[in-house]
Amino acid sequence: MKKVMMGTEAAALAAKLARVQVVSAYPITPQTVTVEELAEIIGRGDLEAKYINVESEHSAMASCIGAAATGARAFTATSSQGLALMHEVLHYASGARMPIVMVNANRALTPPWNLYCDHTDSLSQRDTGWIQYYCADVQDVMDSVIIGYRVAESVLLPVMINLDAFYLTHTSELLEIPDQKEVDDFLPPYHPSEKLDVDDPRTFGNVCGSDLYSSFKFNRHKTMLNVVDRWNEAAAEFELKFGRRHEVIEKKHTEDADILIIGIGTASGAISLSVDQLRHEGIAAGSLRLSMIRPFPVRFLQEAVGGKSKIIVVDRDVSFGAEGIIAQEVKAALFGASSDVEVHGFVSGIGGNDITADSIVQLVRQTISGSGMAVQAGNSLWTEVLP
Amino acid sequence: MQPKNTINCLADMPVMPLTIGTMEWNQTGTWRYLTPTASNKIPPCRADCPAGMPIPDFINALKSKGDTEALAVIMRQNPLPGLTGRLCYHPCQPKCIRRTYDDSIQIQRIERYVSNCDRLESNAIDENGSVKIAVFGAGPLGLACAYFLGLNGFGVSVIDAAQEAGGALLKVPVEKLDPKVRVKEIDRMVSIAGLNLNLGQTDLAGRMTTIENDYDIVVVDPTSVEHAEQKTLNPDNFDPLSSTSVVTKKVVITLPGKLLPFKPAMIAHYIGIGHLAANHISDFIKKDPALSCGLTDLKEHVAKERVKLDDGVSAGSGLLKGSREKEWSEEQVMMEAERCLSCGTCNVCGQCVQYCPEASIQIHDSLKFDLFHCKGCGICAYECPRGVITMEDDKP
Amino acid sequence: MNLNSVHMENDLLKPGHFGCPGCGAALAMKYTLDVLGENTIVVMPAGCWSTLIGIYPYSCLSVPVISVAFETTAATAAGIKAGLEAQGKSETTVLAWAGDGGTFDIGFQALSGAAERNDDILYICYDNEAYMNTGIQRSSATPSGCWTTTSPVSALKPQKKKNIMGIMAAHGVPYAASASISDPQDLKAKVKKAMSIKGTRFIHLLASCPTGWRHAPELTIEVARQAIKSRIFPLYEIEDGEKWLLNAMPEKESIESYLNAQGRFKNMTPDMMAAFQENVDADWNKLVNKCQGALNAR
Repeated sequence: MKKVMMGTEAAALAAKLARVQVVSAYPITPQTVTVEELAEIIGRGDLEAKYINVESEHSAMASCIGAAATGARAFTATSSQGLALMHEVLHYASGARMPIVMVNANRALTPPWNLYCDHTDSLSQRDTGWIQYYCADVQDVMDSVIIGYRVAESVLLPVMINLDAFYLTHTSELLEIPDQKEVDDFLPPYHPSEKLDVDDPRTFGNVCGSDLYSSFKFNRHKTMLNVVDRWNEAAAEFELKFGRRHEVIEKKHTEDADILIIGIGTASGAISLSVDQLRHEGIAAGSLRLSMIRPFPVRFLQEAVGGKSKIIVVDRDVSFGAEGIIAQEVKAALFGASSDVEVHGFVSGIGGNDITADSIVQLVRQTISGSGMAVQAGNSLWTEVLP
Repeated sequence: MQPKNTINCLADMPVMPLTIGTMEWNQTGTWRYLTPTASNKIPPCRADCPAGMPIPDFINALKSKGDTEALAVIMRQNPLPGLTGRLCYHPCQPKCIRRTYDDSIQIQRIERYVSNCDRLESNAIDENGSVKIAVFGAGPLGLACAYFLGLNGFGVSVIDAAQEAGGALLKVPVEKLDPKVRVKEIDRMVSIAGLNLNLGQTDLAGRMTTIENDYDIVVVDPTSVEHAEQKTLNPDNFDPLSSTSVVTKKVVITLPGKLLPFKPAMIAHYIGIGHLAANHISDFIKKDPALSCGLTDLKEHVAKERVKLDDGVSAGSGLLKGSREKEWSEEQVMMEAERCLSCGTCNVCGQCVQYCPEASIQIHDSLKFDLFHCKGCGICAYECPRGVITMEDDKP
Repeated sequence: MNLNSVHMENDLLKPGHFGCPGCGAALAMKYTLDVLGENTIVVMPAGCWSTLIGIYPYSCLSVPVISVAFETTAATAAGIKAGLEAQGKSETTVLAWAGDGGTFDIGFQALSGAAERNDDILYICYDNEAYMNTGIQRSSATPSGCWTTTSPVSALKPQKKKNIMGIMAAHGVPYAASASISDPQDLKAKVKKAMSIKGTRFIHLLASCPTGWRHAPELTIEVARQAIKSRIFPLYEIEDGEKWLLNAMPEKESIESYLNAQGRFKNMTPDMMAAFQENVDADWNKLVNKCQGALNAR
């Protein structure tokens, strides 16, 4: 069935289709619609689930952990400040191997107060051990929540589904809604072998010696490294069932490109259009959209980059005192693989500044010519800075 | 102790950090400086009892197991509870610690009630049956001495000129002592200790030397042998109350002046002295140095301060105060027994079990400390309402 | 029944744990689990219990336990209850078990949230009146005039202990009660009563601490008893935030024997002690006024 809806509504509907059992709800712009929708869905009985009106995002994640620990499928949604508040418990969720799926609206962090699109919130949580997926469009939001649960429950790691503030949260698009029975088939009920169980009483997470602690982390890291393959396997099955493919890397015109433009989220739409424009101008441009940032798809990136020498990375975020986070990740992934690759990092679109095909073309021109409007600060060139 | 399950390799590790066993392998007993020991201590009531009656013990037995068991406890120490329960001047009662809280326990009433129970089992051991002892005098002193010798397994004959056993008891007025009770009490103790009664033996003083030849030891209550002539008795009199008394083949028991002539109220004294004499004689026969010339092998007394008089003490039975009926009902007796604080005597109340933060005390029929785990905090000793548990310096 | 006879129902707490000798918190858990039994899931945050429970992969408790981030006890408990109910397992008791730091301070928000929602959890705060696990730092549950490492002799804590029971009453929770490890029968009766009620039930449980309070380990129970006798820690219950019931109290004693038994109070000046006594008396009178009718004997 086709319907027009916003990303936040799609997220709520996806949670319903995934038959989540516990929803922890706290409002924050611009994800609030998700928890509002779920309140209605559960309230009118379309989904049998417990809905907890928590008193903060920290408690939202804590209660999801509690629910998941008993073997229930748990869901919550947040953004920027809320995600930052959850930071401590994000570490807990992944260390506890809780397959929670959380929808995060990528929004700028305060101060100054800004509600618009920015990726610093989730990217600065990339070390918490969560699988991080960035959606391209509203269909991607709906589908990735479902694939997210499937992967989360098979590897026992939590999944963060990120959608750009307002560009996805509040933009209505046409999407195909998967059939409930098909979703049930793709995503069976969650029955973990390890959980809090009065019939097998054990203590979860007490003080641990160094040797065992490092082995726990090792196991977790190894599992995480395999997630790219797990995700692609699940995505392949999803494609068979539902006819749509969601991969960790989306390539356009990369094989014969001289210059590759890498981005995440909705900016990749503009990047894709800019590739067409550039090609029209005779520049052999290509683009890569990374939908997965954690684990970082190192192998896939190395293959996609191939022998290309010029790479532009568009970061809608920054790690202060270093550079754009995606640029840093790309450099680390390519280190030693490509001998003479240039990575040009641009910090663009933070705080809700629009990224358009034109603005991307400008970045490409600046890269080629060596001069332009973007301002140098360390390794990054910043757009949208006052003169 | 090793843990049952261990994690040795990655394959052993669970995915989630869930535990795989208990902490019981952890020997927290190495932490302690002091070790708890439980040992019963002599309560003031027993300390002052001339017969050394285990008073809290028999009251506890009555409460937890019934009158038959209580009687068995009494009769290990006192063969004639029906008599002491009626005649004795109960020096125990004024010493009762409960008296500082509300009223003393009326121990004698409880003893009397227990003595009324019928019991026929013997608890004599037979191993020393080949040794033959004669006791001259079937009064309370002789009977008591014979009883304890009999319990120790010796073949004991009690010899008396009278037709009936009882000695001076036979002269106690009927209002003070019902003859039926006297007969029942004596029959019972004779049966339990396996005693031989040779009654109606006239001219004992004259025949004593002859009789002596048939026995390994002869014990004489000088007050009971009629027309005793000095020369037939051993000039060295035997004082059971002294630890330096020497036992010879003929033991003539000396009684302290205050016990002569026979006074019914002092009956517990005669029983106690008879018991002590029996102890001396048993030790002599078995060639054991007398380990204790006392009526109990308990060493310490319980200090009054160690007995808890507030929390948990049930209310005083005001309605029993001044009850003057001859016989109390079972209900009255049990209510009174309920008030006994069991000073110095473990009654397996379980307070220590409850208060142990290490869950390291077990109670089945008695107290058992898990010394592998006990950290020596001392709460059990402090909280024991009866002062039974003490903390001792840990020996290496 | 024998005089003072007690009987333990189960052995869900097993020996070998890391509690200090004479640990009041260990006793608190032992009594609670003795009533709650096996069909219990315990949620505990950072604190004495999450350390004394044992070293991974071993634990001294034979019920499922989850060791959670410090602030999250009540929120995690709410999630666990929701997860259980979503799976049709509504009979399992969810016990939120936090110390005073994790309840009065850092865990306060989550507790307030759960109480406001009336989440069906049993929340027991075992109160040793400081952050003991990290080495005796002051919390808002620490009494005034008390020494801790962050309220040292040069700067003893001036503020009174936070009135957590009043706060829980203001939330209108169906049941709140104070209890002490020195009166296990009272505590067990209250836990039992709490088990029969749905919604957020709160028990404020005084758990003395020889290490932090600076008293001899054998006096753990006695000190807690004195807290009750001196009216510093009265035993009472509050139903639905409105009906205040005072439990039968032993004869009153002055605060001196309580304060003098503990090294943590030895630097109190006579003025401080007088002020302390005044506060105890004033609070007691306020409490008595709130309590309805005759004493509520259990």
